[in-house]
Formats: sequence, C-alpha cells, structure tokens
Amino acid sequence: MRKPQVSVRLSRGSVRSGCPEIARLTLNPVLYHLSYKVVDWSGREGGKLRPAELVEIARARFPVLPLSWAVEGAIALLLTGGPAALESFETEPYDELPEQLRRFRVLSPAKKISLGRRWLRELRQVRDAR
Amino acid sequence: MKDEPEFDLIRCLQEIHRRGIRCLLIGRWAVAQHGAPVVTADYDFWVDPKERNRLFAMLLEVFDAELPPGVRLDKPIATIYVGPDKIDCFSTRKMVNADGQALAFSEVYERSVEKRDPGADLSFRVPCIDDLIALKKFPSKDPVKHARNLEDIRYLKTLKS
Repeated sequence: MRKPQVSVRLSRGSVRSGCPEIARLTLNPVLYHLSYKVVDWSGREGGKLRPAELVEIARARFPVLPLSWAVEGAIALLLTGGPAALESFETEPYDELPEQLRRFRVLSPAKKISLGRRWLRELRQVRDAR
Repeated sequence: MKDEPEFDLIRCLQEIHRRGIRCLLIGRWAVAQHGAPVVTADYDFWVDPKERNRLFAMLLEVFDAELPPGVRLDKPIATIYVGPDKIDCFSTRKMVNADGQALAFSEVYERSVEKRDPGADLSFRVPCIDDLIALKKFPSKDPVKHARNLEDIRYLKTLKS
C-alpha cells in the first residue's frame, strides 16, 4: 500500500521567488483517512481546517520535525488532544541574561527557597488585601 | 484554636534527604533553583515509585498533611494539602511529554543536579536544565499555565546559553 502524497499550496510566498510555496507531504494512510474529520483537503467544504492552516499549525507545534511527520502529529493531536495539545512550546531565550536573573542565580539554594516563600507570602497578602 | 499547618519546603527537603528517599524537586521551585526568579504556590515532587509510600508517610507525619476525600495514594499522581499549600506527588516510572519525549524517572534522576547548602543543612536534587525543559512541555487547558510554562522554558534556555 502506498502512502498518500499530498501537495499543499501555502498562503505565504517564498521570500526569494515570490511564488507560492508548495509543501509536499507523505502521510500515514490511516491518519490521512481520519484527518478528513477535521481537515478540508479539497478546499470546498466549510467549517474545517484548510490544508495550509494545518501545515502552519504543524510547523509551529513541531518545528524540529520533518514537515510530513509534523503534519501527522498535528492530525493526531487535532483528533485526540483538543486545542490545548496544539499549543507550541517553542520559545527563544533572552538575548542576554536579565539583571534580575543574574542577581537571583548567585543566591544559595536555601536563600532561593526563602525568597520564593517571601514572594509567595507577599503575593497572597496583596491578593487577600481588602 | 489549632494553628493552620504550614508547609516548609526547606524542612521537607531536609527530611527527604535524612530519610534517603529517592525524590526530585520538580516544577517551578526546581526552575528557581537553576536561577530563574519565579514563584509558585504549588510544590511538585517526582518520587521513585518504590519509595512513594515513604514520601507520603513523611508528609503526613511531619506536616500533618491532609488527604482530600477520595484521594488514592497508589495513583501515579496524588495531590495532598498542608494548610493552603498544594503538593503534587508524581510517582510514575515514565512520563511522555507533548513532544513525545519519554522521561524515565531513573534516567532523569541519574542526570539530576545536586543542590547543596551546608549552611542550611540542605541537600536535594533537581532535574538538569534539559530535563526540566522537557518536563515543562505538558499541555494545559489553562492558557495562564501554558504561558507560565513558556516563561519557565525561556528562562531555562537563557540560563543554559
């Protein structure tokens, strides 16, 4: 059995050529079949994700995976995990260590805990203030 | 009138060390130990499944911990309370995060970092930065919690670089 191959025209164009970018996907046949519940592969039905939207979600959610794997993962999450499962955990570090981090980092383990407890106590006091 | 019990993290970590319980401090308190100035009202521990009962016994004995009605201590995640403080105890052998990355307790423990503070008679273990980042990648339906996890990951990546 051959794996389904799908070409998806993405909404944004290639930076260099100015032409629309085409993503070519090779998908697990079972996931591809099940994906019809949530993805409008034909582009004619309403109320479902468009293929380009699916690719964007997959790229954001699994940025380090090959695109076809990322799309398969996004389909699985769309079918089973709900919107929260699609939230990306990708984030860049700060350009430089903020001053607050530098000051906090040098404290001893016990001092870090007692400072955290103090912040927590103060937060609770502020929250409970009437 | 009896005072409301209060959880003392330093005392708890001292007891864990004294009793030799194989346990990791995880969550935001562990992120703070790597140097991120974050604060949380929850305390999270990941304990060797074989030593789960010893951890619970200590929390009940030392802190007069309260078990919410219906809570089962043999479950892989148990939440108990000391006064207003919420303590989540994970005792799974393995967790799989949102990226499909499997984290086995024994491996995370092997790679963990010991934090020592002789002045406070304190010694405990937290996961290394990479494992802590992986442990932060669990989906939450609460967007605020998700934002907090992202903030923690950003701090940890900054501290690593």
